[in-house]
Amino acid sequence: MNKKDSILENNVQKLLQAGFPDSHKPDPGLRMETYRQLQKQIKRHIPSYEFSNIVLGLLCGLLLLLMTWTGLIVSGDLAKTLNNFPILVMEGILLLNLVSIPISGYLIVKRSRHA
Amino acid sequence: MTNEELSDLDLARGVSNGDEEALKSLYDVYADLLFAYIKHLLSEAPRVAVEDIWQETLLSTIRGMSSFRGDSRLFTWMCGIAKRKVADYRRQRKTSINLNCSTAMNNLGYLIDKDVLPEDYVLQQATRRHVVEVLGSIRPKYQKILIQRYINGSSVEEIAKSIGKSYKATESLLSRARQAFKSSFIKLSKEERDE
Repeated sequence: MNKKDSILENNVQKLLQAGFPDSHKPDPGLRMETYRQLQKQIKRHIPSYEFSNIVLGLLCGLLLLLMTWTGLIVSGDLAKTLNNFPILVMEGILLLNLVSIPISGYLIVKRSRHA
Repeated sequence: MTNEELSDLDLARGVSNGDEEALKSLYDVYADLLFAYIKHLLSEAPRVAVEDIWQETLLSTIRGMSSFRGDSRLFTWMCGIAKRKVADYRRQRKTSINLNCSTAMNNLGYLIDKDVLPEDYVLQQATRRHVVEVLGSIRPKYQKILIQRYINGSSVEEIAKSIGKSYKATESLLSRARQAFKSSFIKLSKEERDE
């Protein structure tokens, strides 16, 4: 080993012993208990599914289209619309989506803050 | 997933998907280092506070793992969560932490293979915390062998036996590990200085 390697080894040893001493490690009992908690946590965790931006864009586009179409139909003849079951169902679905946007947004922000 | 050299992103994905092997790998490599990091941040706090924050940080890490994108090292990301938990703890107790060390002392990282580092520098909280960050940033096999040799005090022969390699191969691995430590130490020192 040359002088440079010898200096490096000496310094690495000093640094490691100062930075990672035994007093700075968790107790074995705590370590095991914490691991068990984490195991339970990942078993409970539901994996998230990634939506691609294209799919998200298409879904938003479809939502906007449906909103515009039903808006046009409703503005044309309100009384007739209320008696038309398929249109009522479509309006119900749209309303549900619109209401869920702020609720989902709140939950997403809350979960990301919690993490 | 059983490969111990999984990338940070693979490890994160594995844990997000509930893979217990990935969790075990993550825990074996980073749990003790995270404890040491928090202990350096809270050197004067009771040990029970360090333990609580350590557990909370690990739980938050697991819960938030799906948001890890690989923009930084996984351990750096975990340290970020730990720092926030420590800041919350300090806020509750109306105390503050100083994450910086003096500029003069901070510039000594480049001396690691040129001269014996001063004791004052080695024993500074910032340096000791820095060492933990460096260990968390190098490959797990380098981390493991450095700990076995320089903290546990195992001889090269003992390490060679435990990892199933020849003496020469183990010496070579140890040399590469020291070089990796040095590169990461100097790099992180520069980054901290530039912040």
